[in-house]
Amino acid sequence: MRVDRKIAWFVILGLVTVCMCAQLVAPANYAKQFREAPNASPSKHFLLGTDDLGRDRFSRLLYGGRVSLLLAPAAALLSTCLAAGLGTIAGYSGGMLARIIMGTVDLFLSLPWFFLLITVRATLPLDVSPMTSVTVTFALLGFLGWAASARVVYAGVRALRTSDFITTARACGCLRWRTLAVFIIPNLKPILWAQFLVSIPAFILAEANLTMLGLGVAEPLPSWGSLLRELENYDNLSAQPWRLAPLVLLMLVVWGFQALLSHDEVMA
Amino acid sequence: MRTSWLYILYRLLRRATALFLIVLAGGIVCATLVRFSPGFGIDERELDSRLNSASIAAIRDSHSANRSLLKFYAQYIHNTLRGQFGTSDTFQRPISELLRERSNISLRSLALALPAAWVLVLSAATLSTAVRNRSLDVFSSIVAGGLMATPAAMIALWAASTGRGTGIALVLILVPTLYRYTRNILERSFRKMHVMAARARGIGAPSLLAWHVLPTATPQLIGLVAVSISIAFGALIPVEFICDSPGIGQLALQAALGRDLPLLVTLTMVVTVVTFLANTAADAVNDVMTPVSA
Repeated sequence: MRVDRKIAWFVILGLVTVCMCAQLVAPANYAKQFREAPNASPSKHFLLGTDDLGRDRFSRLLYGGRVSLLLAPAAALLSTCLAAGLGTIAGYSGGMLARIIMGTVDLFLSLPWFFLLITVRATLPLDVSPMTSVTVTFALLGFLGWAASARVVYAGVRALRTSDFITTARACGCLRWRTLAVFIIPNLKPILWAQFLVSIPAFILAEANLTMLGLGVAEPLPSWGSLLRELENYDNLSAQPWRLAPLVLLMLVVWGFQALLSHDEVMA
Repeated sequence: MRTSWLYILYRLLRRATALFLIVLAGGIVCATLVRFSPGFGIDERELDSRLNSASIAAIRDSHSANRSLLKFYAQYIHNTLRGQFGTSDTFQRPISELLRERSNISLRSLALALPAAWVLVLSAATLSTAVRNRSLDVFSSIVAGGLMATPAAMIALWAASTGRGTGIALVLILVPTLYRYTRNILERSFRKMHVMAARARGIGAPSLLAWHVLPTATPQLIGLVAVSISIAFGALIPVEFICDSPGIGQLALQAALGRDLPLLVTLTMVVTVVTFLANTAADAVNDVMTPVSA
């Protein structure tokens, strides 16, 4: 394994572990206000200081990480499953069904992603509870982010379908569903894994963008996107560099997921 | 070998059909959202206490055509195809007027940012491919990776706070993605057999790039130009909203925050048509440039 991939695994697994144990590690709840100490600087009690409402930044960073690091992979899993299902059906069945599915994929891909995202988000209620907003945001990402992956899976299945070992299997009397289950789907694993890994950073960034624009995760629930909204007051940043912590963490995680992809996958 | 014009025509026809279907589907979605939005078909004049029941019935009759769903769809799509998209709920102005007004600002930003980004990307990617220096490669990868890992809204925030403007923000959003794709395309061309043979014969890097690498990479680069237009339109939303530039990106987000669905769907449809036309143009250029056996 290459060194950068080892570092990436270490960073991601370390952050996931810490964020998943937020309840144990964080000194306070993400919504707890220390009203006597708003905008406090880093100290022994508040490792990254407090925000305007007196909430501990370090705790919010950990809880926010839990939201982003748990739900972005969940959304990526959803989109990869959708892509795997539709891509495999289209690639393996061929004919009119394949044309319809791939036509839908083409249609989906010609819609500009961010415009589509905010359009669909706007059709759903905006004034909802924080938990609903976080579910809606990541479910949307999962349901709208499958098209590009479906095309890759389709190409993979088409290539496998015409390969020698599949032809041999079919010539030996292997049934269609068995060929699919035993020979095609297991060979799709590297493609699906790559698509899963590509989707996670894309969804983390999309959530951050959506939330920064007011269409994502609602307060007081933190996500890395909502923590970045605090940077809107850009002037004080040089005096308070610790406020950049969510951005640094987000960039680190996105880089980590990108580094996990092998060079060949990036080239593809 | 000769260019098959029939094949090009067939592909253009397919594209035109797909474009028509997109407009039709967008029109139907938009019409559905308008038709089922709260308050549809209610005229404020019905609340006027001075009007008698006969007058109110006459007003209701004037809206009766809209109550038939099929007639409403047909009328809506007819208007859409004529460039009349209805009225925005948020701005209380015709959508076509808003589009005309705002698109000028966005097009100006794009006209500045896209060429600038492409000049930067092509220079950096060509240099990186030609020089083949490990340190330069690592440096460019770190810069591109860092920018790619930064949310577009964050880059826009930096540009707005430091007074850099929408153009710079768009360039910074576009460059890393385009650089990575362009670099990969050039790298793949560089590894082709005929290029390796030319290298083995001692042809210098500039000639190699000019005569062997770039010509084989051109069709893919043209395709990437079309993709960059789509990326740029997507980036307009956070950039224009945060930098307070009254273009279509800001309009889209204002429409989303105000749940002005007809405006939002119309905007999405218009941007889709523009990006679709860009892709079609790129395909057509590629078809003409790449000979296909008849």
